[in-house]
Amino acid sequence: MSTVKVTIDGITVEVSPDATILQAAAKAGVDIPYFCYHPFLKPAGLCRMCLVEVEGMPKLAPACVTQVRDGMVVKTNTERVKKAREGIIEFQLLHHPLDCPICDQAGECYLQDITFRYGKATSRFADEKELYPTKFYGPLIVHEQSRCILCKRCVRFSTEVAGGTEWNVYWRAAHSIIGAYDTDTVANYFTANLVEICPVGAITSRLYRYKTRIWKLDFTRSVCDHCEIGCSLDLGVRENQLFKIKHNIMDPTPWLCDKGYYAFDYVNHAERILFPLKRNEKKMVSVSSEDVSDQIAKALEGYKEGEVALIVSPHIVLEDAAAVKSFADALKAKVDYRVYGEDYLPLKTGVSDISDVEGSKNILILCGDVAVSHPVLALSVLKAKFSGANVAVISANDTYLGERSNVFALVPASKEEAIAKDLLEGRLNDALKQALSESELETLRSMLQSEDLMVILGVRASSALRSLAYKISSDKGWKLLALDRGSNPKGLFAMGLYSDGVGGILKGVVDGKVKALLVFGVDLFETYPDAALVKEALSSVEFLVVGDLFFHETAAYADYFLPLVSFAEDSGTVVNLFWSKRRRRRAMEPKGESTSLRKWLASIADRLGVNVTTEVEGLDLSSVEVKLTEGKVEQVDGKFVAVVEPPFYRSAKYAGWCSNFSEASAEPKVVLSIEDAKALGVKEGDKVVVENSRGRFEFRVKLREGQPASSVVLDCGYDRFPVNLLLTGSWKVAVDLKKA
Amino acid sequence: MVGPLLKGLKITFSHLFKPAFTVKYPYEKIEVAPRWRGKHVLRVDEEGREKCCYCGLCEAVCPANAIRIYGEEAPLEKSDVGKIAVIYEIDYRRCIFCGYCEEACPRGAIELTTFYELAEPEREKLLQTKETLLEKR
Repeated sequence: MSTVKVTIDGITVEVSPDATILQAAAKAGVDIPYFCYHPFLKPAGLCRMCLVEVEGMPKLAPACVTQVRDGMVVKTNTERVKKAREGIIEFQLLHHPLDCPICDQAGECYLQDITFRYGKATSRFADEKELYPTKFYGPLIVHEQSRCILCKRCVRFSTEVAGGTEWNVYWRAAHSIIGAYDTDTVANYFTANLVEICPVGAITSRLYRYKTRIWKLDFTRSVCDHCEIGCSLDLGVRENQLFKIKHNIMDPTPWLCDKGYYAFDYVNHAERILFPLKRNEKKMVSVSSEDVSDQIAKALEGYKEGEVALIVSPHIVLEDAAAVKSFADALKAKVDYRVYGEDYLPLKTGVSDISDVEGSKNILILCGDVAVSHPVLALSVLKAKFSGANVAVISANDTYLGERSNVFALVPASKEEAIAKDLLEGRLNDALKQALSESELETLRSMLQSEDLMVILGVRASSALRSLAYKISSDKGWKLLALDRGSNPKGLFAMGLYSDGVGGILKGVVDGKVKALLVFGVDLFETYPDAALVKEALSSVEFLVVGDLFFHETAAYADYFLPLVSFAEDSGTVVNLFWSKRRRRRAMEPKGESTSLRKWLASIADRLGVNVTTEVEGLDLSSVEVKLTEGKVEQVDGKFVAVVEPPFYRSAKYAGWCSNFSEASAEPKVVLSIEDAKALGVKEGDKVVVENSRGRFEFRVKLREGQPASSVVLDCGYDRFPVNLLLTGSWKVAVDLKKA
Repeated sequence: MVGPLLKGLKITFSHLFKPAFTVKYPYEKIEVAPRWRGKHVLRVDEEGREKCCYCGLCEAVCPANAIRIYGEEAPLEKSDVGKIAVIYEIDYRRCIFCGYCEEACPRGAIELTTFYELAEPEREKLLQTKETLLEKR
């Protein structure tokens, strides 16, 4: 590729011909101040802060939108540029309230830094400043229009990256207001980025509001704990409390989701259990760390081979997994991580980077809500779509990506799997034909003909569908991405932490084969799709040890409770969606007597006379083999078939202990089709009773256009609202609906 | 030998008839300069609202690292800007009374008073909190 030579302040650099002056200046190491420019958004040329002098041009040119040309001579340190900068800053500060002492952005504010460096100390503006009231958009973001400099970074992010329109500029010129029109909540899963890219304090996080100052925080780069994409995060800690999360690096994408940005305050939650507990009659009493290890080891000694089983969360790090594996091997115990009742194992496919998704020409998404389970991946799919790719979403419940895709069909929950199976085999199911228009069907057909197709299987896809997709995609040369739940399922699979499923272990407990159960990092009542089985198993098991951060419902059955550490207090390795290892660093000291799972296991194993290892260097991910599991394509029949899924703001790990985050979806809802609502005689906002032979729950109705008849979506993940009671081992279930 | 001794005694006895240098502390107290840097006070405004809005400048400028603050959202009855310091601690084991905090404060919220009797029988009591620092009206 040809390059052009540009001279900036006497430094000559070679850049590509489509670069801008600002990019060339960055290469030359010349600092040009800017507000509206963002390296991952389209240039807008709004703030005029980057004005520079170009030889041969009569006026000053904005560096962020002016393309370079060969032999261009740019000057950034002349009197004219200096005067222009001072003028621009004076303009930007005309209506700025200069309330830095109370502003949360102070310390990382572009306006503060640039004024300090390039501005004048005085202003000629003598009139009254225009002030606007503070507006709270939901429990997560605060918007202060007075501080806004109208750089439109947030608006450009919302439209160009997240593909929405609700966050925009209203009114005109000097009276322009940024915001969402006629609504008090903005919950589009990516509001975190609005806070992150705002160069001033106009949009700030409500979680961090006024709590501390940015320069008091020590940042440690770690990896997010909420899904298997594993975005890099900087954890801001002061006095062993986690206050703020930042995302300062393009790894894997420059964007972050709300889960990673807001759902962290469980780390500091007052309800965290920080000392080991043991059961004394009906009460739990505190016990010392040495005694608890002694007593657990003593109890475990009494069990024979195969009578002990371990269930671990799919969020634990590889080091913990190695310890669990060696501990389980020493005790000849069964172990499994598939706490969401999955019957499938992770598939190792050829997709090795998120840029593979962004570069795809056709993307087919089946059986799952990608924006809820893997939010940042949804942004990559959208990026592909905006650069011309066809995106098809065929799912029983997906609104975020669906609304923004070329082909979108909401299919009946009962037939979701069958439709997906037919589609992969190249047939268009009748139910699908009903849901799509002729042009959409045409697009879908052409996508299936194409060689450059990426199939993304959501978390609901069963093992049968996964095996089929794997075979077909390797035959046809398609790319396949199979998503799993948890933040480290691929690593746990590579470690071999699976047997016959969590369901198998629980049934073993009920049958009396397994007598001692150790559950770590998970509340089975919340995650396993059959609360009745969990209850039966936990109340009949002879000896139960639970380790976690909080005393949840599973812990209520425990004989011993071990306090574990959160992701911020522990270092370790995780394997991400693309099968590469990522390193998590410790940002703070463990609270109280809580310690990592591997240390608890080591101290118990020590007393049992066995060795546990935390060695993970030997784990070779390139030699992981694909294990296709057998299974039937799921078919659920009934008058109404429900898909049970947590809404986005309940889907994060420990969401119930993240106060602001979980407030964003306050009430469990049932999504109904308009015909069904008419037949039931209910309107949006009414209450309906959802019941089957196992239980009965009241939900608030939410109508959705395009929702197929007799197919409903139920929210789960709410405190004291165990929707899992309705389920029988799968996340789809036949239910009956009545007006409340 | 006797000469220097007498000379010394003369000075001693002459002081018996001059006014005393020392004061009978604690029954009598010395006058201090109006700009004396003693114990801090957190000022409140005319309506009794706290002036401090936790900008963190006193905490940042403190060379002895004696100040520790955490902030909070507050109703307008408590603060005219809606933000107060929920924890404000000055550790007099560390404070060197340089007065930089007062100088850095953009709202005149923290001031050093002329009160200098800071001795405590226990070291822990030298950690002053908002309760003892806040101006009473």
